[in-house]
Amino acid sequence: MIQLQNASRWYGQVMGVNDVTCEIGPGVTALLGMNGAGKSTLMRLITGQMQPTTGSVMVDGESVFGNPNVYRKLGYCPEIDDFYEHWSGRKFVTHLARLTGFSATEAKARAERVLAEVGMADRADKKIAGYSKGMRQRIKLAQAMVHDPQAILLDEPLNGLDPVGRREFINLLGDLANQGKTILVSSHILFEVEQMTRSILLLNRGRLLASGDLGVIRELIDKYPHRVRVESHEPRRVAERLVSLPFVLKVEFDPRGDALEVQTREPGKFYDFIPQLVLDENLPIEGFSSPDNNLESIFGYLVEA
Amino acid sequence: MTLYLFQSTLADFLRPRRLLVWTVLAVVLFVMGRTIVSLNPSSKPDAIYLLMSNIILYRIQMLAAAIFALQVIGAEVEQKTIVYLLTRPMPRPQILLARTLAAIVAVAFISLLSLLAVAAACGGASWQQVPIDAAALVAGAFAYTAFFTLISLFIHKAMTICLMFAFGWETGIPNLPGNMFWVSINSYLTGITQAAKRDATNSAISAFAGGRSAAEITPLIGWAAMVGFTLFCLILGGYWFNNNEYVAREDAE
Repeated sequence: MIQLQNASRWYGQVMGVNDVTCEIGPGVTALLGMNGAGKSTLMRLITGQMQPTTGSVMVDGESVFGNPNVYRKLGYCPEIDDFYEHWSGRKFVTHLARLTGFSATEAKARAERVLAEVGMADRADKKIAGYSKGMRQRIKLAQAMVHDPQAILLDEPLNGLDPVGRREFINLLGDLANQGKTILVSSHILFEVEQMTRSILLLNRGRLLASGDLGVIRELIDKYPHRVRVESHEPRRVAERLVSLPFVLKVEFDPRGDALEVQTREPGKFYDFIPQLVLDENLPIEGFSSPDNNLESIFGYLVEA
Repeated sequence: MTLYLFQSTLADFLRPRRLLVWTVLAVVLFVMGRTIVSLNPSSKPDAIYLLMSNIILYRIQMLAAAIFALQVIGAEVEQKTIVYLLTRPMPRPQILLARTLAAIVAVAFISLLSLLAVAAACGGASWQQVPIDAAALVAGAFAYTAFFTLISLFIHKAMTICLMFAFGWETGIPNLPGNMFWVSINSYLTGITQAAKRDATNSAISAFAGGRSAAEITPLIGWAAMVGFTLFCLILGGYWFNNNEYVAREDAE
């Protein structure tokens, strides 16, 4: 459905997207990258708001920029949080349906349907200026879906949604994917992406670093020692026990004396064992977390790989 | 879609809250006109009308044109809502045309409202001048709005440039020595109304308002120039808008 061939985009001397080649088909695909990685630029190239400096961006074999045919097939939920604030959500969605070419009656019916789908039917008559962040996200999604496009692009759609809203949103994306639609979702949070899809495009500093199944990325990460920060008011006692475990490679003390950093090649076994240590041996472990579960670490690994 | 976009944009441009300011301005013009008439009982009402229309009405029109022209695309880029317009299946030139025409109608409406306020204040024979001034103001609404919209497509935050053009260029250029008046829109609008005003514009104050050019630009030249200039601005604007990017850059990643 969406094809990028050696697509690059420069802002003067600054690189936005560099030599990206990929194809995005039906189902949910996540565009994963840290802030400034080029996700929004890539979204704008695909939605034809920008032209690539070199290379090509096609949707169903057609060039995108300024091509009305393509916009019948695309729905776009931008990251920006700007609206016609004095309008109601219903008027906004109906207006954009009219601009897609539907008659007044059809546009109204479609707006009603999508507002119900995104859970805004009962609140859509309030002015957008009075909406919460979550309500604004839902209205943005509604306008992207109102013309029933084949592909929907969502730029950081989960920003500002509460946990219940996130779950509903993710379920809705799953339903759309099950209908055979192409869904591209950008995010900078790995945890979010894992809940939505296994198919990812990993973008770093404008380059497509990896693409494919999330499991491949996970395996790649697991080649490297996994770090776990363990908090304890008796770090020496905890360290003494942990170094005796066969899957622990290294233990380092935090200079503040209230934690230690453990390196392991088998994080699964390590996480399973920690509760036992606390319950059976009464080790004073007050908490643990993994700095490796953030994108920065993953990019670090992938660049080294 | 084009008709719907025109209608919805016009409704937005002329929504009561926006219209209130221009209505208040029309009331101010009416009060000003009545005051001048009452303070100058020896002056003919139509002479006061001509003075006010020459000096004030066209300036109000330029101001309105600058404000509404910048709402066509510039404000959408500024408010970052342009993305919703540009990702709909509507050719970009049609988007620009529909919104520009809505701005033109809004500017013409406001200009005519001001004209009627001045004519009502002066009364008497001044009503005879209203039709030709109304025609010239409509021509001006097309020309100024199309031109300022074009400028806003070229330049980000174009209000300063538009106002400098309106109150600097359009005031000064028609009165410079030689043939400089040929490059001022106001000269052509004055030319359109010259048959009606020829006798009344032989004063220093009317020269300030562009009166010098009136003798050389006939109504026919005036109309032809305004139609040609408006079409030129609309066509060039459509081409430019179709081939260039309009994205809020501060969001760029």
